[in-house]
Amino acid sequence: MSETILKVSGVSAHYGSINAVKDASLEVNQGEVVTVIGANGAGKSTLMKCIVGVMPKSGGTVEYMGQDITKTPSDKIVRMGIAMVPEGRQIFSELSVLENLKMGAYTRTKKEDLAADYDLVFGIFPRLKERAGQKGGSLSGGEQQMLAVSRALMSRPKLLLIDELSMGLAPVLVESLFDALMDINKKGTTIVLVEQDANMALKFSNRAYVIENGTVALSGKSSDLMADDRVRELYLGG
Amino acid sequence: MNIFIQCVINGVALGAVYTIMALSYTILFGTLKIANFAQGDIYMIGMLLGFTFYVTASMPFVVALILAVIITAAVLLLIERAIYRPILKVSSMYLFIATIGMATFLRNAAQLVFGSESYSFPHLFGSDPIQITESLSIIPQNIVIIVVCVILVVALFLFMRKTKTGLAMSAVSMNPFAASLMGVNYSQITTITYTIAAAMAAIAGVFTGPLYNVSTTVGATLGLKALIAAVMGGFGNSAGAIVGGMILGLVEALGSTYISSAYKDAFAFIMLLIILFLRPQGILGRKSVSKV
Repeated sequence: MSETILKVSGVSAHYGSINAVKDASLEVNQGEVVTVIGANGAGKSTLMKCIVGVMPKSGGTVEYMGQDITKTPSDKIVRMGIAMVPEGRQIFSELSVLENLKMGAYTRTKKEDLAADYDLVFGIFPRLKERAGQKGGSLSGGEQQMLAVSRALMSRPKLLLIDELSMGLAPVLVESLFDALMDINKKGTTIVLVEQDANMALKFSNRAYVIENGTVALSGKSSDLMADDRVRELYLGG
Repeated sequence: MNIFIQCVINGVALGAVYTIMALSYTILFGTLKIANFAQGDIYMIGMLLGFTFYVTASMPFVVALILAVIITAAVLLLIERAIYRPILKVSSMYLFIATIGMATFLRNAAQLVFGSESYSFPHLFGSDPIQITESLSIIPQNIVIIVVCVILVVALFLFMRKTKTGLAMSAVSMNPFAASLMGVNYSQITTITYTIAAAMAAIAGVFTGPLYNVSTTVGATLGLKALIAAVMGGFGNSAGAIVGGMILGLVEALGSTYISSAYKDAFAFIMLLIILFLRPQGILGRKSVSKV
């Protein structure tokens, strides 16, 4: 069995008095694609924000590669190798595609050559190369999602968290984005996918967690969950 | 015609002062969405410190300037850490009020230290006007201010466009959440932004010392007018701050000559009302569109 890269134990988080995440635990192994599915508002995004340190936790611990990062500030967490593609893409709209990518490489302090990284992301998403000088805000939704994924890759993450990859995009495009992710995963990046589109997410992942009301209700191999009656009824449209 | 050209020359020099100060508001508002109403009094502190080091302590001008900039920045950073930051955690509305209170506090604190009389700051290159033609002239200090303004604008532009920190500041201004996901340390960006704002105000203060009576009240009106310039141009937009600053300087110089110098301070407010009536987002400001 490969080693654990991320271990979330009993994490809770609140928005004011609303308890968005309750005692949630999950584990991700090196090299895996793990998906977190659940209904809108189930607490999936909040859980991701807790992991990268942009959302305060009211309880529980997060371990990354054996180190406790429960209280580590987000800029250090990014430096340690966790990157996140946020929900709604969150592109820097007035910056060019290239400047967005440069921001993705913000934590790379050494005067490393970024050329290889540009080649890598432009190899995965050739469309971005054509648009390199354009403002991020002028891209289509799909192109923005490609940029958001590429931007996250620029920090050379070992663990990539992706929040709602498919949101607002045409199914054909989503499929090709998932293909790109599989490619990224094969190159050695562990991926956690948060999805409302359970069909696609289960198809492309090794293991899955189902979140209901802020807590893990079910977990297992993605193929097993696809066959699970409850999952089929609630998340796969019967 | 000569009178008109003379007015334009004076207006550009005045506009240069407003531009530097408007940029110091703009960099804070653009990056951190904070309107620091005490900015005019930060300018006053810069001027008084410059005066103290240059005149009272007879230091070389460059040394006095550097010391004034460093200490002014330290004062603003201390205010930010000790007062603004804790208040901002409660609400940005409270911070807004706190900056107004801070302006008065700084003015009175400065009075305790420097007294309430006014001093005169010697001109760097003499106070004799340079004759351009028989009836056109410019005082050397005005040339200095225009040059300083140009240097600061170019330096700021290069910093924002060409450095990693400048890029991060732009990113924070557009989307602080995404910037934090890129590993940008918000607290560090806050410190850098306040430092730049304080440095610009202090530089403006030291270089305009010879043009005004150096006193603790010198920043109040100027700070307010520079804020008007920034808002006229489109608050948060650097190019807008330059346009707003220049327009305000020119209108004030032309208005004082052709209408009445008694209404000198009123022109700024009238201009603001006219521009905001015609273009509420400011001359170069963008309408804020919220996307779903």
